[in-house]
Amino acid sequence: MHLEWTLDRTDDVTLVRLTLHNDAGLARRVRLRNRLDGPVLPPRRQGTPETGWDRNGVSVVVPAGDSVALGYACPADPDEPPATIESVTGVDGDTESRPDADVDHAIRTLGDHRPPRAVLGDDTSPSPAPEQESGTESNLDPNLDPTPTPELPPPTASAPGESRGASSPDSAVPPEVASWLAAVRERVETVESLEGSSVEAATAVLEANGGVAGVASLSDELGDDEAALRAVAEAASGLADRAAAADPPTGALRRLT
Amino acid sequence: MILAVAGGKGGVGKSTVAYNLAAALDGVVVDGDLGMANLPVDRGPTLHDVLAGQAEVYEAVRSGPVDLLPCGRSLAGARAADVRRLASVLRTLDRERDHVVVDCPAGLRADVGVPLAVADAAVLVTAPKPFALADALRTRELARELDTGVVGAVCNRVVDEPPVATIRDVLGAPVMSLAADPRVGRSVTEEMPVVDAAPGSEPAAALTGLARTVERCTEN
Repeated sequence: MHLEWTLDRTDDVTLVRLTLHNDAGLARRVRLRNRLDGPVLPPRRQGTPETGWDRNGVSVVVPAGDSVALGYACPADPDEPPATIESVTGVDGDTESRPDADVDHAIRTLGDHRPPRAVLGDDTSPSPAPEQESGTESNLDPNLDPTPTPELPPPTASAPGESRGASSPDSAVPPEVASWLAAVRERVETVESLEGSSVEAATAVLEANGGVAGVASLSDELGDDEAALRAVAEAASGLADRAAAADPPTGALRRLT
Repeated sequence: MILAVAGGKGGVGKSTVAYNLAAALDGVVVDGDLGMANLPVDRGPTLHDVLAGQAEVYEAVRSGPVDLLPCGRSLAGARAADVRRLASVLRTLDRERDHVVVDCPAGLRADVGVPLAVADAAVLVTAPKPFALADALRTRELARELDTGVVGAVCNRVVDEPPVATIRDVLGAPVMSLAADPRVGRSVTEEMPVVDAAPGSEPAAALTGLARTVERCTEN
């Protein structure tokens, strides 16, 4: 019986892949113990760990002359070896005799009975607590919780961030230029909001902008806007370079006067 | 003894059969339909509360013509219910009562699988219609996979003579026809099990016969 492994560290979780080879001519039940400094997060289906797994490792039958592949996750840092063979015994007489083996099997293989969260409307208060209870290991919860949180901030942070990022240099822009840019920005945003939006949203935008004809004239205006913006950008950057380079010989002039 | 009354198809009369069979067995009936409960409920705690860990089993059992563990009606309650606890709820009842009859929901989800896995035996309910029979067959396959014996099948709301021999061959269990009888239909809402309300009737005799079969099969 020998054990091979590979280790991967992703998102603060170590993924351990194990292969157990049984060279003997008899099937063997192997008990593997996790050596990493953290609990085993076993493979699960419908929240129920696969047969044989517990917090410390797994018991598995390896057929004669065959291999078995296993994998688990662990919040601890990688270490070598990640797991050790604790015992190798015969497989006689140890059938699945746990009272809840069938119940676990049913929960694992059949669909979730619960109505989807979306149908509950606002009345979602009772659901979070039992969901936490239903995971037998609280270690799952820290893994589950951070996933929605990093997902949520980018849209809220980036949407206002973009417009603020664009408007913050406006403080250095003369008011007339700023109001011209604001008008162009509004036209661009109107047309952008029509792209890939739902029928309802698009209808609302069309209504607010004088129908299809209004939007068509808006896009003509945008063509002019683009030309004007590019011309202004070119002239502005040229002037900015010259402004930076221009260094009046004030000292010499003072001496002259 | 825990008896699961299942059948796959909705609306074939599983709750009616479960209720009346529990009466014939002098047992307690559990409304296991977490999403669409059918058996009568009042204001007390329900199976939803028990499965959410907010009530004890015996707080939720109410006595009546047939002792009953009702199930709540709310979707939030169904979502909060931990179906794994259903196994221990049924075993707890089984320690105190001779017969625990579970009215299983339609479909083939975990809330059918758990009672079937815990049950000592199952009774399938079907209607004399091909699609209902196909669903009953799927439920029988699930029962077989979970090592629960099917001790009988009920062909419910029979008007004409159903093809009993065909159904028996398909489901591999003795089939009992239950005639379309208004007293059976009313029995749940009025809480008047037909074995009490009309003991001499044909449905009462059929249900008593099924109860004896169940007892015989689960004695060994």
